[in-house]
Amino acid sequence: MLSYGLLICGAYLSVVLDTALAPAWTIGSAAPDLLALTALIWTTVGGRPRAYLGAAALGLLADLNATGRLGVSMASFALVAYCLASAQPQLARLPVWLKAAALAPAIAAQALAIGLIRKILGEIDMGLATMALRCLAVGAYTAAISLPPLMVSEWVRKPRWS
Amino acid sequence: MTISNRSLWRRAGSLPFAPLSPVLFASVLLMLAPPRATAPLKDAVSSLFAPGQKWAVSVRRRAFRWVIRCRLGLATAEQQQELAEELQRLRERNQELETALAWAAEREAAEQDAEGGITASASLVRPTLIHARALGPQARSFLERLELLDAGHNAGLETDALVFDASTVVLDQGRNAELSVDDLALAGRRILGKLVEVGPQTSIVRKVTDPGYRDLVQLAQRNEAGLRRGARGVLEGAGESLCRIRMVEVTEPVSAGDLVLAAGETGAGALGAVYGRVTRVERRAGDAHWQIWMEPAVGRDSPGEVEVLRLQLNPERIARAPDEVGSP
Repeated sequence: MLSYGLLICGAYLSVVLDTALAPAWTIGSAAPDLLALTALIWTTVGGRPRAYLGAAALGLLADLNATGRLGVSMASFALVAYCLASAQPQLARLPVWLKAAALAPAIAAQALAIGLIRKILGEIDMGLATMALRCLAVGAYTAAISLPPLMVSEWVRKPRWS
Repeated sequence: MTISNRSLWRRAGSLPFAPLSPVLFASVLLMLAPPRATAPLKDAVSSLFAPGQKWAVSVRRRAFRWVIRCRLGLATAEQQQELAEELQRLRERNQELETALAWAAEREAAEQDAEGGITASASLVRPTLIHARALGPQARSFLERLELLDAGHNAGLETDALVFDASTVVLDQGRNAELSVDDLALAGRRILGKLVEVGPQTSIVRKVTDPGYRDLVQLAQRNEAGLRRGARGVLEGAGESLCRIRMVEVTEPVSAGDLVLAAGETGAGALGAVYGRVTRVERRAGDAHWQIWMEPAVGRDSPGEVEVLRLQLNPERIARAPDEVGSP
């Protein structure tokens, strides 16, 4: 129950920071995607069997806060979270910095999936190469930011005094 | 049929993305939903997040201000001193230029009047500027040892007081340059003060802010047409950083930022010399005159070199006088 409360708080904070602080921390055209990060951390930490459902809910929240049609981020978040959840036992054994590094391609894939679907729906007009590069930058940036929350979650799960 | 259906479901359930299919199906349905139908839901969600976003933006702005303050605080004291001096120099220069501009505009207007048929006669008395240097503490001490610091005794000032009182301005010109008491000391077109004591070789300046300083002044406002002269009043030094201007009636228009020009008979008015700028204007209930405070144009630090304004007879008039007498 506590973890669901944390998920709701994390989601609210992510949306607020994503929209309010984007001008301050955008580097070039890449800004971190905190909501995607929250979804993937929710998926990878804790080993929940149906974590992709939570990720899908966060995707729907991202859709509701974005312009364009609903369901695009929802599908992308769910798909990537499902793939990542299947690799969760292997991920759990990795050190924190490798976990963060593993999140980079996942977030990039998530952003690329959203971009491709929106391009198919005719909502954005961007070249594929530009889109791929931007998604890679977003993935790397978000993964770099994921280190502190991953460390905190690691400490919470494995207290040093135990 | 039932058994075969069950095996079909089991096979379907073992497919890689089978548990995900309901979520993907729901996503596709949402994608097909028209934007008009989903707009109210989006509005509701955005209003839910609006307070948090406002808070985050205010925090971001505060943090930005804090960072700027820290950066400014990291500048060394020496840099701050340099910047402050530069700012003071630029302010003084700005004031000089403003006054010069106003004076040029007035002179142009006067010339236009003259071209329009008004013949101006040469003035009998003409102001002349005498260059002088302000003596520093070391120079004063040296002159005192040679018993050449010859101004100030009549005003009740002791030589020791002159040497050690850094705020007193002592000039290196006196009666030798035909200076006299009440001549104005100028820094550019800004008035530093009046000569209060003149010795054979030196003289003492009473600064505008010194207690007992009084002079007739005129307020002026700058507008698009040029400088518009206004009410006259009496400037008084009070020993504080700001001077008072009295005897300006409340029926006269006065506002903060007005220029304060010299208006006495010393010739400074003709030169367009400026005393400073009005910084504060108040009116007490039942009072017939404004309470006006002026910031002097010359700052606390006295300039190293000044010009003393001295009146002298116009040589043109003196040379012309015998002919005029002889003419019918």
